[in-house]
Amino acid sequence: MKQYRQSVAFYAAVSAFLGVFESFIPIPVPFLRLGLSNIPVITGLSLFRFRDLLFIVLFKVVIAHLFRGSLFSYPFLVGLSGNLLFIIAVWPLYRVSRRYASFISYSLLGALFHNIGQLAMATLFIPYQAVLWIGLLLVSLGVVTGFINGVLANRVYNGIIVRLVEYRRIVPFSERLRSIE
Amino acid sequence: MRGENLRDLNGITQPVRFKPLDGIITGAFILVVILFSIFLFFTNSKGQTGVLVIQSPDAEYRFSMSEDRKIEIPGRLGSSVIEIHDGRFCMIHSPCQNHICMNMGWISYPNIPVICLPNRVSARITDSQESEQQFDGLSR
Repeated sequence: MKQYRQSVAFYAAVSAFLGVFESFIPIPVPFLRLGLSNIPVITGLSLFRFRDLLFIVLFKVVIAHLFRGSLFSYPFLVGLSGNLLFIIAVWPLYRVSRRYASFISYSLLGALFHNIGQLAMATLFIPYQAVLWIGLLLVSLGVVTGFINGVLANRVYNGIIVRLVEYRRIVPFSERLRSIE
Repeated sequence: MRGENLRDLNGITQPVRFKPLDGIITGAFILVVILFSIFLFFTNSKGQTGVLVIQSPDAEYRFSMSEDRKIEIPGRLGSSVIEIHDGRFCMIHSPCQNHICMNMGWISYPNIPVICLPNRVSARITDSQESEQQFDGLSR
């Protein structure tokens, strides 16, 4: 159980690091993110319980916005709603369909749910028509970045995470752990 | 031992690869984006139902954007002339020096103001719903 908790912490740290790191990459549109920090979250779908994944996402959002300087302002709320909707929607989908799809699907769905959550929150701050146009931009770019992230997540899973699990550097959740707890 | 941890957890022992469902979902997403953009382009070309709000030092004027007309607004220096045509408006004449307001050109989108500071005249389109969703500043 201790090793499992360390794995969750490791994942949260990597995800938060990527979230901060991607804000250093210059991007023309302020709302657009590459979503690099979602690669650990998506691959984490296969390893962790829901509440641990929720912790990873919350940690990522708070730390990333803390370092970007937008904590407690409206981009934080926008990012938070997108991330929460993503994790709540994709978790059950992953449980149901993991045998039939790879991380590309979940990355695309994640990009979509991120955008829906962001736009729903953005309608509070921005006029409706403008939100539709921003939404078109976000969703069309989200498909591209989501697909690329999915391919990256597949490669990271096959190349890195499988090995880390094999050498027990990362301990995934299993029923055996619950009995120990 | 190899792969055993993954099997009892994931049901995945093979490497994760591109599967048919991924192709279907990717295709569906691209379709949705195309449909969404078509929908947005068509709805936007139709809607010209805004209201032109003009502020002068003395009064506030409101005109429908659906009728073509020329409007003369008395300001501090003289009268500014605003023309509405095809759902767009433009400051076509102004007594000010720099003519920044005239150089704004034709405006068709709501909430983009054309302002003549020397003459104290400003004009912008509001949505027909007269919504209160007006923002005066956004920062990242």
